[in-house]
Amino acid sequence: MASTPTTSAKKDVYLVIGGSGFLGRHVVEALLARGDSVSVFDLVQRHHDVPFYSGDISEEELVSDALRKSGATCIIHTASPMHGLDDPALYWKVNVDGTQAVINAAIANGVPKLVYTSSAGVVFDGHDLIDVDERIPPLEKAMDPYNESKAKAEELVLAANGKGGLCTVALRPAGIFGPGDHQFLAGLFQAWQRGQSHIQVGDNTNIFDWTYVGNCVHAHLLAADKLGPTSPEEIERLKESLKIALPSIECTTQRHRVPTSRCRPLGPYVTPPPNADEILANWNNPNYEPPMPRPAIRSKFDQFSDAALARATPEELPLQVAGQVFFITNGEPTGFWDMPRVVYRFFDEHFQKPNTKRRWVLPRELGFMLASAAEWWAWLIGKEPGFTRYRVTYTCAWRCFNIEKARRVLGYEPQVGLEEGIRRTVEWWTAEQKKAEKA
Amino acid sequence: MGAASMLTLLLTHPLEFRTLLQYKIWHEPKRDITAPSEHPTSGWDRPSMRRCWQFLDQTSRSFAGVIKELNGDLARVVCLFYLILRGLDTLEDDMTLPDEKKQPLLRQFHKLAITPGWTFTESGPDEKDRQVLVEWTVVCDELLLLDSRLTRPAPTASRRYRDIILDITEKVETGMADFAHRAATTDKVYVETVDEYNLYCHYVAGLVGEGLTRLWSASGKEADWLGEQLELSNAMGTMLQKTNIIRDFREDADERRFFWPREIWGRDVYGKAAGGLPPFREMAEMHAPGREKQALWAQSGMIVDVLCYACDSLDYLRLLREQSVFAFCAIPQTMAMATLALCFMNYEMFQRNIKIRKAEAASLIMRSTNPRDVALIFRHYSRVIHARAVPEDPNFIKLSVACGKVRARPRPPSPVHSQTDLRPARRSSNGSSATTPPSCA
Repeated sequence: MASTPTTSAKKDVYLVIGGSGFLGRHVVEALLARGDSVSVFDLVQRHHDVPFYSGDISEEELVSDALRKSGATCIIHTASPMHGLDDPALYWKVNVDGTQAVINAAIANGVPKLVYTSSAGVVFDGHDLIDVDERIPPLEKAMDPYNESKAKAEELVLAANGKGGLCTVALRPAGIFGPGDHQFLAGLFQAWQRGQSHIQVGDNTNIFDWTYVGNCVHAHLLAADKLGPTSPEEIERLKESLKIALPSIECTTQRHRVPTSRCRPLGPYVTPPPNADEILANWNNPNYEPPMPRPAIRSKFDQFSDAALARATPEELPLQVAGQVFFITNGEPTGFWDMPRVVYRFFDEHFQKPNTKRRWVLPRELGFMLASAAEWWAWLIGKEPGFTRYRVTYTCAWRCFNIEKARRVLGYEPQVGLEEGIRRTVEWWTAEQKKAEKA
Repeated sequence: MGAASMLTLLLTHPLEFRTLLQYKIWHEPKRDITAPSEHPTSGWDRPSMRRCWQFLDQTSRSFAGVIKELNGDLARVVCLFYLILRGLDTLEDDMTLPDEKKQPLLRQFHKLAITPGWTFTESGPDEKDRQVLVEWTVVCDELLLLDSRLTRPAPTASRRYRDIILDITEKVETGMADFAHRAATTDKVYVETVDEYNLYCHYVAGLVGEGLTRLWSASGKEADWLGEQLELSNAMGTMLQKTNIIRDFREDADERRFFWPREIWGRDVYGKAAGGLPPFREMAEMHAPGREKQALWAQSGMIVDVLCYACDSLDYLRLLREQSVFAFCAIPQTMAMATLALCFMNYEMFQRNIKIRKAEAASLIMRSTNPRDVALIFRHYSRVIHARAVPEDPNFIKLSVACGKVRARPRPPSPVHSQTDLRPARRSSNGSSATTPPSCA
């Protein structure tokens, strides 16, 4: 799928909105690395390697100005205030008004492509999310002002698809982490410093999906490349390929290929088998496909079952990029606490100060009571609560997503596994710490 | 189990007593191969086949039951396939046979097996299944009858049971002979790489999976194309073989048989993570005092490797449509998951031979009846393994992902039977993602 030619032969010129932020900066670097022309629109300039346009995205004129000056043909909109602020008005202003301004400016300037970074959180209201796909209906009531504003912005972006020649797509990454992230690792570091690394809320039987930032960027670039009208032939081709199973994701588990009688190494043979050349050639061919491809196993409830596809209207058809949303994850679901535990373990070793206290598992219900008490106490003394009911909900719920749509339609495959992603993240963090010490 | 041991069990493990009692009350064998109505397919009326059935009971504790419950001709066909493999195994394992003698025997076995009158009496006295080779003529007679005594129309060449069995036999024997020859003629004691380990498992188990699947297709009980799904059928066999290789560590090590690949057990990181020890140089070091942690990390590396086959196995099982074939395939697989859960982080495995308890096995036999329940069983054991994993283990993230994949898999859809233990979950529209109570997920 990745090998199909993209819709436009001409190279796009990119404007990354929020290009100074965590994800935005990674997108800029990836675009630069493949030799594309990139500009950044953001509040503050942190890097000086690309043209920079300063401004608030809710001011449409400023965005328009940047679009004209940069000559952008593709907007990648990653800007958002960070999660967890107690400022609903800010979220609304940036995410909703800002996104509307971006859409208006794009249409006014005839920009053909807009890729919007939504969030998997827009479908999370505290209930378990188990293998959900993009058909999951929008929430009646969002979990918090952040997610409410993200959901609204996503709705605006999708509704703008096809207006004035603009094609739009929204990506919903889940649990982004990686070098440059100041939220996830910093939060864990604080907990570790306070000596709380042995505390765990919930029994860690809930499964959680994470996304390494590099994979998230990869998905953004694929979406940008493939965004545009999808031809009927392309849709037919995709439909046909739905019958064949996708390979399993082995980035972290690194499973070796399974030898078969038709495709295997020759081993310590005495006399080679009659078809030795063929089976060895198959084995040495990393793209070997057996004569009978592996069937995709679907029930009639599956999003790509014939029944489901037949029901979808042409605009809804999930086999296109424009006007669609895509969940993006590493495709490697794990227990929620596994990730923090690995990071704590890293801090233990890095500072040679292991927390020897016994692991303390708080049941979810008790966690709720304590969080209520903490929130009340914080309110009483007028501080930001560090431990909230939202966090308890978040750490105890299942949040795993079906990413088949992104794999089929965008051709997305995670490039960096969870294990390698964590390694790169803590390596970056260590380097940052050293820099801070010197300064 | 005798009355006395049942009574002991009642006092020491009341829940297991309950399971076994329920098994005795509720579990009915699906067919009785000795019944006159079954004779046309089971061959019980022929003395030669009756002897083969006896051999099956004597040589296999775990497979005899599920083989005899296969429908139609398949029970007899698979019984003979099993005996051929038993015969091969007996020759391969026999340390009293010098390589010069063993090589031609192994490499010709697919021919010897159907040579009327051929028998083999020179197996070592300790080979517990040597009698099968001594009386091979009964197996040979039955193999020769195989495709003429069928209750279905004469098959085309690629669907002939005997041809499938002998084709697989030839491949298995060649692989066994290659590895045996190398062990006998070089000083290579250990399997070095994971690829080599995988190839060995392909020869002795993956191929069996291929063969059985081709038999399902040939019988018409399963789809034709299933026999061509070599990756899936190999994964099924390999998962079982690798599980046994892990569990039998001590028994094999004491008999100087080493199947674990050095690429896994010899990793530097395991020594480092066990307090700065050097990597294992010899496999015997794994059960030496002071190396317990390091041995457990090596064991967990082996277990992650097997867990990678779990999703393929579940996929394979979902492709089956005949109930007796399903049970035959599913029961060993759920037992393997239970065995992995038993071994994981259990140092006893290095000291003695451990096994899942009888009641657990009985319960798995009763429950391994459909793809959904099997998926739930897999999920349960993944959760058991995951709960015991610790971040000190260098395989921690790999384990976490391998278990997470089994547990987050798309669920075979089914109505929700019990509302009481459900925590509400959000679903994709059109009813997908049937929810499962977290308590058994």
